[in-house]
Amino acid sequence: MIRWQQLHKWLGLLIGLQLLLWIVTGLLLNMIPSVWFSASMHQQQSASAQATPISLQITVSINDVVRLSHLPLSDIELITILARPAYQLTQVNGQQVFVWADTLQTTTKHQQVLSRVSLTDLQIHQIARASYRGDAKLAPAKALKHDNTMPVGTLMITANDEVDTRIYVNRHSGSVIAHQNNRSDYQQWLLMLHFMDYNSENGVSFNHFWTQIIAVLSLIFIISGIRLLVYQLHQGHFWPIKKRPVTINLYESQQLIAQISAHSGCMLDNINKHANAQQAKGLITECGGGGQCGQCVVLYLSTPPSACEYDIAKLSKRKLALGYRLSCQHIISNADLGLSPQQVSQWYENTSDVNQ
Amino acid sequence: MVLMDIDFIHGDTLTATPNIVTLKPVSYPITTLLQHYPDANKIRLTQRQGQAFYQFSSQSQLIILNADTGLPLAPLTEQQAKHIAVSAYTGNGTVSSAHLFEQDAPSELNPKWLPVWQINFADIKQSSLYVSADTGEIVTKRHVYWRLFDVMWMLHIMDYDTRDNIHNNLLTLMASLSLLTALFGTMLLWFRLSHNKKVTR
Repeated sequence: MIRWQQLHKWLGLLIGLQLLLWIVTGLLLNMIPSVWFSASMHQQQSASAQATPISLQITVSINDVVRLSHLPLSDIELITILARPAYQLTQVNGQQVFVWADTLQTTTKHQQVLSRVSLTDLQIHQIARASYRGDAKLAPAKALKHDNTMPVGTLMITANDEVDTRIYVNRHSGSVIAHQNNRSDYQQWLLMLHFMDYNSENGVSFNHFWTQIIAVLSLIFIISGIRLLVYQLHQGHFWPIKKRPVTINLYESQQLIAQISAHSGCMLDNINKHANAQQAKGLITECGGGGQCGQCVVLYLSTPPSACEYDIAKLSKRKLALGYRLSCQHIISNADLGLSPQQVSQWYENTSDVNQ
Repeated sequence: MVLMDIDFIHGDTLTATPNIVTLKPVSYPITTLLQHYPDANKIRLTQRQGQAFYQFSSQSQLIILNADTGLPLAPLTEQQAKHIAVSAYTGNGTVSSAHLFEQDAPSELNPKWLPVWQINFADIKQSSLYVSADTGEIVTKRHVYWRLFDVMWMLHIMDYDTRDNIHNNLLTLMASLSLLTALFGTMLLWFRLSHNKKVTR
């Protein structure tokens, strides 16, 4: 039991901060509506759902594409980029290539090759503009540096709006990769803390070593907490109401020094509540009622309660037999308790110490 | 659950990457398709079991055409669906049952994949592969650990109805109480440690 308490304390110290982070970030993710976080608050929904009359412009056939592709293809999709037809080719290695469906290039050796899509900064700006619903001014497109989460050839266009919208458009596909803004950054940041995912950029990686360690420690922390709670409840602590009020008499060498009337809780709390009401400190405790310091020991002058694990751990057999018990570990009862001269002398003394 | 590899949960180990058959020239050109279906969009050419086909939407319907004849391709038969599932499956169970879902998806499946064949395997993981009846693609995989994960997720976000709404009041209430509990715990820990400090002084 004593060990459980030590374990619970040290685990609390070790993982307490992460537990708080889990709870706080979880609560924020729960309470902040997803609309507020939305990265696409200024995003125009893609117009690709509307058919574009492009049939006349298609001069490159599927068979041309199959014939001229460098790598074998598994999938070909007809798309439009800035009202021009294009093919999205999926190679067997999973990579995607975008080529125009209305143009073939001819090399110097008079060979036909597929014309890869490569948009100008101006065209990229145009695509970003079309994907943007707000009316703020868009800055010129900028190339990304050292960013491995976006496909190669992705440019960023920032909008001067209230959430600092950032639009990512790829030069080689003409697609809007993402809209982001400072609110979606905030959400990513919360997710990063919640998932303990401090390395990756997307904030949703799941199986981190440290997550696993702290999750296991948390489980032990919770089990030890439940173990302690069940023990305390079993001992009669925390039950708020005791039906019949009891009287506790405090003695110092056969002389009655205080009479306390109490309804619930443990001996120590009631004694000190009484003392505090008289501007005194009462009984010293260093562990705050945890049964660890042994400072709150009192002598039951008649019929002591049976000794609990904490009594046995802290007090000698002789003292236990005489009726000494830790007052923090025993629920109130009609009792006559003896205090040591030292405890009585510190009864008031201690007050000034606390005030310092 | 963090001890379980998320890729395993997603069922990535249930199937091997299929040997992708490369596209070959087709006899029905895309321009002819567009003459017959002027409003066609999201036109995609791919193949199932060696037969290239066009997949597109026209008048908000998904249409599948044989890319050589231009005729509609019949939906997958049970035999074909089983064949696709078995050739991708890496486990050692045999097919125990197959169901075609056309209107209502089972709760573990996103309805956007309909119509779909559910091919169940008699293995320890109770694996199910979902094969699109239109395209023959394996759209998703489920097994007993995924289903367990789904229940754990439900418990995690305390949405016992739809299992996907993290913005529910019960969770707000419990998380707030947890926060209070944790703060009180922090206070208790602080008292305990600062008392100890006083003794050593």
